[in-house]
Amino acid sequence: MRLFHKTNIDFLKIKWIAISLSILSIVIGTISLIAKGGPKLGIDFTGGAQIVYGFSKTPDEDQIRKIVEAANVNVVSVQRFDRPEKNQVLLRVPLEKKEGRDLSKEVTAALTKALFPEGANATAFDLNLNGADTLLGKLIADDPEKLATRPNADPKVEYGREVQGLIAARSEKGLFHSIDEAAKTPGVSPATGDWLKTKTVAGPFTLLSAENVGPQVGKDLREKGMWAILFSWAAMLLYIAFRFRSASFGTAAVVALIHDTWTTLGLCSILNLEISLTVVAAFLTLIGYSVNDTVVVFDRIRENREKSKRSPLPELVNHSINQTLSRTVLTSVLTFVVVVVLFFLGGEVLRGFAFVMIIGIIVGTYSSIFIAAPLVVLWEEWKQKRASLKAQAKPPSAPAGVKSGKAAAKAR
Amino acid sequence: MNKPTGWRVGVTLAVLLGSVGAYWWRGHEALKKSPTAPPNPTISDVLRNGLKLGLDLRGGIHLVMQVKTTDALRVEAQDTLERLKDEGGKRGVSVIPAGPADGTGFTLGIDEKTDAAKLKDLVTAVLPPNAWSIDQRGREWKISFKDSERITIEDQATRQAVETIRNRVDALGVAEPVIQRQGTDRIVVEIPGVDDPSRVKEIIGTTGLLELKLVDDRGGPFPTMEAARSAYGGTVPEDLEIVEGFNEDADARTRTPVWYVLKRAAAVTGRDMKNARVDRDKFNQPAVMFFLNAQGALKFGKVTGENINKRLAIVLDKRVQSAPNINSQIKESGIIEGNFTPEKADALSLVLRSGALPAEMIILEERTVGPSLGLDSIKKGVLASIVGMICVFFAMVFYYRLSGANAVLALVLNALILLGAMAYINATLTLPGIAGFILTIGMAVDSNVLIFERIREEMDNGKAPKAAIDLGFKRAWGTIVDTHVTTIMAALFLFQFGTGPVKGFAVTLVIGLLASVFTAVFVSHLLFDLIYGPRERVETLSI
Repeated sequence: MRLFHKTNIDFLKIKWIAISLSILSIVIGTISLIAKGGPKLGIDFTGGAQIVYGFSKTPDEDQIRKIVEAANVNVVSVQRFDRPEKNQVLLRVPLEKKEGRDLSKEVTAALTKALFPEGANATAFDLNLNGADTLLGKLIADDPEKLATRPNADPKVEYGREVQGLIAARSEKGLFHSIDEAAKTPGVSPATGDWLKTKTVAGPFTLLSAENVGPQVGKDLREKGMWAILFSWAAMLLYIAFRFRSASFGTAAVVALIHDTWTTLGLCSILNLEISLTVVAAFLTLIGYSVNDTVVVFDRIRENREKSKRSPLPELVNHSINQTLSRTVLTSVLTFVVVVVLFFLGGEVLRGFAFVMIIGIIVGTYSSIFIAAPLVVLWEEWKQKRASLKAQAKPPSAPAGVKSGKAAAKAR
Repeated sequence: MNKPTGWRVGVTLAVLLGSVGAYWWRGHEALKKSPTAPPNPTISDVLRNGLKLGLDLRGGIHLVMQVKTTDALRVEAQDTLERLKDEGGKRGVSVIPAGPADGTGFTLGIDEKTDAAKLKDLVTAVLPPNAWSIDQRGREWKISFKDSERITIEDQATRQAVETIRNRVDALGVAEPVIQRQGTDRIVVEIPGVDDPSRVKEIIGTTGLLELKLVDDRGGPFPTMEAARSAYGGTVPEDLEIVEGFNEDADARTRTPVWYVLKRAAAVTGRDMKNARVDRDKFNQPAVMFFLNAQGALKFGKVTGENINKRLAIVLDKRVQSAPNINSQIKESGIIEGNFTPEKADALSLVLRSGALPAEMIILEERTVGPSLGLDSIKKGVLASIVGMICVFFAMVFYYRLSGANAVLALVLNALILLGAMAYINATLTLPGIAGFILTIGMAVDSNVLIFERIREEMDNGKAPKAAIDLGFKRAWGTIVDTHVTTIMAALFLFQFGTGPVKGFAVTLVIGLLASVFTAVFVSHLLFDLIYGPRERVETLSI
């Protein structure tokens, strides 16, 4: 099967339309960025906290917000997280002025007090909020199986196995809905099961994840992220300049690269997508991908130019784009399919990453064909025109003539 | 067209076996080290342990902490001031501080009675000139740390904090913790598999500074700080300080804050401690018993012997835990009461055993992932990888037929090399790393596409199939190098920039792309040779 077989599309014909379109989209993106005061940064860069809880029943966002605010914690938003049937809630807390406040602990304590008063009691042991270590320590101290009286039993190993099983079961289910459910976990002995029923409780929620980024770390990451993007732009420019030994190719590739990054960033701003660490990772991957795509076309232009030195550049460039079109489209489509799969199946954390890659692949493919290659032609034509103008202006002057002759030869 | 030579088959098989073997070996190694490994691991146990999972997949806690080095500097200044006073006492020179010591140094007050020359002699005798600078300004002498000394103390404090935290984390008994110094005063702590973030934070972040200080005769407790202050006529003398504590009612249920006035200088500190363990107090509540070393016992014995019937405050991290009466001379042990739960008492004894942190710690960044979220991420990542791969494989076979199957084999080998290499170098697989894996499959196919399109073109140009294959590989090579260099360069910047999970992404991407050069160029070419090489005449290619 072959698509795009021996195509002869005149891509350069619409170069001005494409360039106008790109400028327009960049302008719109920039306006959005300015209007919104820069890209919407996630807590990785601004600082602040994000806490995710899983509930046993459908949670009431308003109630949660009221409880947390009553506990003297500011809340930006309380929203559902992941698929609705998972009963998960994401809480965002703004940046604290002072470093070091243990927000997840405070919020968890407030929620326990309000939603599960018996869990707030100092002696209560909530199976859904405590971890393996604490549970093991408590089991060894209480010793429901009376292992201490048995000579060959190591309580740490015996109870350790049961605790492992319990925590694994809880991870599998999200949280224990009741103590009976926990006591029925395979591998838990009847004595331990009874102990669980009398000495522990199963609260209505569990802490799934907590991120708390202080102002210093946020600032560091912001600076590091910006430098990483700027340095990689510079590195790409140097590589292309070295590889093609031509200012026009290098500049065109980097213009396309900045075009791709900026357009994608603008679209993220328009769609209010939050820039997190993984999204910056996507941007850097996109930088690599965008140049990669451009380089394939440029390689072919260079090759064709060596083969037929006589052909005019626009024709040559068009021919090269057509020759590589099938590869460009196929690779883009396959990579695109992969990131779309990631977008739908990869989960909440990778969604932003996948989204940026989706946009990046579309924009990157478009810019390689419609922006980068035409820019090379425009640059070379401009250089040629300037050279011939100079030559006309000073026909008798020998050095200028030699120089412009060289430039013209180069341009061809 | 080359004959499918033995050495090329050999290299390919060796790489394949090496990758699978490396993964298998790492899986066994990991199981051996794991404390919870089943006695007879099954194949799936080994496979599941071949890759080290990042905190975001495995669950765990990542902390970035800052050592408040000014604390350490202040303590050092305070100690130096005490030494100066002691030495002054011996020589009959009175040393009067003009204020409390702070992170920059301390100030001495000079009045008419001061013998400036003698004081100067004393100061130069006690304080090494390379560490301290003395600024004599009329009635006040400002004595401050020199920069080199300040940096040394800060460095020591951070190093000591790293050591102390390492001791504490080791005492938790978790596998593969990471404790790393970052810059001058930051410490990164990563503890995988821990699902008790608050316990961990408590154990790591507690300073654990134990001080035993005498309560002043009129020292309270007072209900408010103001009450304490006014009992001394507005300000407490220089050698005393007001410290917060709490009062418990009879059944130890509620606590009300109270304030004590204590002697500023500690009789004994945690530095003189030998051991600590959980015990019970007189109400059979959990408490922590501590034991002093010989030097500490000597000091403690002297202080308690001289101060019978006075009160001794047990101060932990600048809070009075209790202030019992000294009934008789005590030498080497004491008990800390404080309405502890068994878990709290256990944590405190661990903290005291591992020694105090040299300064307070501030948590700058915390990322906790619970085990269930990690498990969920793995499931989603694996599903997305499998679906993504199937899509790519199907498209390749559909579009390129037999050659597409060739590419699929190369991609499978690519994935195996990637997994094997990651297992071998013990790289960490993170959630973004899984995204990197999927993306690698999508991008690695690009090399095959470049080659196959080139082969088709060469055949269009009238080349014979066998020649077209060789030319296709040859001509695509330069472009393949270019595309890989650009992507790998971007990934290297990412590695430089990234924290844990993002670094995992960069590592996966780089290894995957390097492997794809090998599989797409070397292995694919070999596969073509194996299919078409032995035939005398090849009329058409399945491409």
